[in-house]
Amino acid sequence: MLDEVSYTDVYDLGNKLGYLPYMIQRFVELIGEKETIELLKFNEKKLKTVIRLNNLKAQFSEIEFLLLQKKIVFKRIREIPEAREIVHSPISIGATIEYLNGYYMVQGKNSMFPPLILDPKPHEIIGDFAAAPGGKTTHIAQLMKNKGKIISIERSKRRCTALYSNIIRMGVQNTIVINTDARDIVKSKIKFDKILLDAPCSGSGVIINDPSRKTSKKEEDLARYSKLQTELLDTAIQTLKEGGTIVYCTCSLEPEENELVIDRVLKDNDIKLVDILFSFERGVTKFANYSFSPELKKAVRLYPHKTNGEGFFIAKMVKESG
Amino acid sequence: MVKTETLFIKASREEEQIVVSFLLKEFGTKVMEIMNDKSIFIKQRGVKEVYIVNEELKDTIEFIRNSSLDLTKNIFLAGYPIGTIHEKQFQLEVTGGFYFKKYMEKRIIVKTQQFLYGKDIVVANVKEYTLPFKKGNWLAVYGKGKKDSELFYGVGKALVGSNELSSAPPNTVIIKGYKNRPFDLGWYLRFEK
Ligand SMILES: C[S@@+](CC[C@H](N)C(=O)[O-])C[C@H]1O[C@@H](n2cnc3c(N)ncnc32)[C@H](O)[C@@H]1O
Repeated sequence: MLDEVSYTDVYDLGNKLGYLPYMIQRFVELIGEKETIELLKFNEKKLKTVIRLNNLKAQFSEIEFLLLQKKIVFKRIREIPEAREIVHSPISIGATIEYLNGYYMVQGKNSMFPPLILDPKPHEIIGDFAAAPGGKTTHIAQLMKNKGKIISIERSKRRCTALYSNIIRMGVQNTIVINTDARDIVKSKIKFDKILLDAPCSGSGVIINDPSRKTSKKEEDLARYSKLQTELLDTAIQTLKEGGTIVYCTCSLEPEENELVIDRVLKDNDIKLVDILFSFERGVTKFANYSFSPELKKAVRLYPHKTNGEGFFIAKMVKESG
Repeated sequence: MVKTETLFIKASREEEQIVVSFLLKEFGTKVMEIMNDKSIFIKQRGVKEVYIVNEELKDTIEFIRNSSLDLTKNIFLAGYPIGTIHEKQFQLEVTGGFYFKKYMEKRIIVKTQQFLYGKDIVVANVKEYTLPFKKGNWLAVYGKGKKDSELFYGVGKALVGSNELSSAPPNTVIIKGYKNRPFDLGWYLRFEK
């Protein structure tokens, strides 16, 4: 319906769709009026269901065969060999016996990029610093062929339960789940080869999944998230081996939760951004009164309306040797 | 109520023996192929949950225990859970069935999915079984899809032997289903709620 109406006033559209005005102002500052209209329209749609086939349990071809038997129609997704978009399913995809056997995970397409960008190897020790419900921990385990080790940290005990059941269902055996604040992990003296920090965030990139975000966060909340994210990233850097890699991501589009966090840690640590080889839009170097290091162009922004998926910011960094 | 701290520690000799003798009895000596380079850990918080942990994870757990902040009491999971120890007896759970699937040669193949909802398996539900079994044996429960693909449903203890099946009334319970206990895979969905 929204497509039929030509909205020239983005603020009018934002108001009609129930957004707090500050959000629209910020989107316009970030991507301009025309694209903000596209983003707002996209957020009213429904994301396509995507699954990640789990070759810790069965070969892709066998899983595809079982899905086809159930008359589930799917298609491949470019750049993610393990992903299948569900085109049509006569049954609920999250309650099949194949799902219960861990043959696949129902997961947003764009949330598969951070583990792929982290590129974990079977002999490594990996930290997942904000792990529940475990879409990325179980993906990392799959990429590591269930070898090496993963330390998955999650502060919420309640969310650890979902993490636990996903790890078991997907047949992951190389993981230790620790229910704690990731900022405490420094004291354990573990040193990681690679760390994924999928930080707690305001979620402005996933309004399509959670429309309550249109009004649930005030502009002041962003500073609180930004502080926690910076502390978590600082901790991650401290626990990383020299030469090790960190992937930082959020499902928020707000520069305070993304570029600003990275800009701060670049100043205070021996760490450098490295290019992400997927062709997404690049991180911003200016926003409102902020200006960030030009290096931030190495980070990527996955805008929902441009990628047909959840919004994400992803940065990859390497810790320099002494 | 007294709040007990969670412990995640290597199983004692006695606990190890309880688990290993169960595995040998139910699955045969071949099961030691995968147990040889693994350790058994216990997570104790009221019940004793049993985990299979590989050497690498074991070293990391010990490293964490010896650091200035012992986070082992915060370990929610390490390796793979297989069941619990209760009153000096090992109780296999669906996760253990997953883990030892290859070695559970006594399989019962059912026609309906009701076991996945925590319901009993009765004689009338059985399509076939792979090997004769006795009352008290642990069985792996499978369903058969089209073109004979087999999918794991869970585990259960036989309440009657296979020799009784042909003469037993169709509503005789072979494996008891439990809504609140983790013997069938449907438990994941019930548990997540
Ligand atoms: C964006 S979600 C992570 C999603 C997860 N990586 C996945 O792929 O399924 C962020 C998680 O961080 C957890 N969290 C928040 N603050 C934390 C902290 N200080 N330490 C560890 N975890 C934290 C939240 O409870 C939440 O589960």
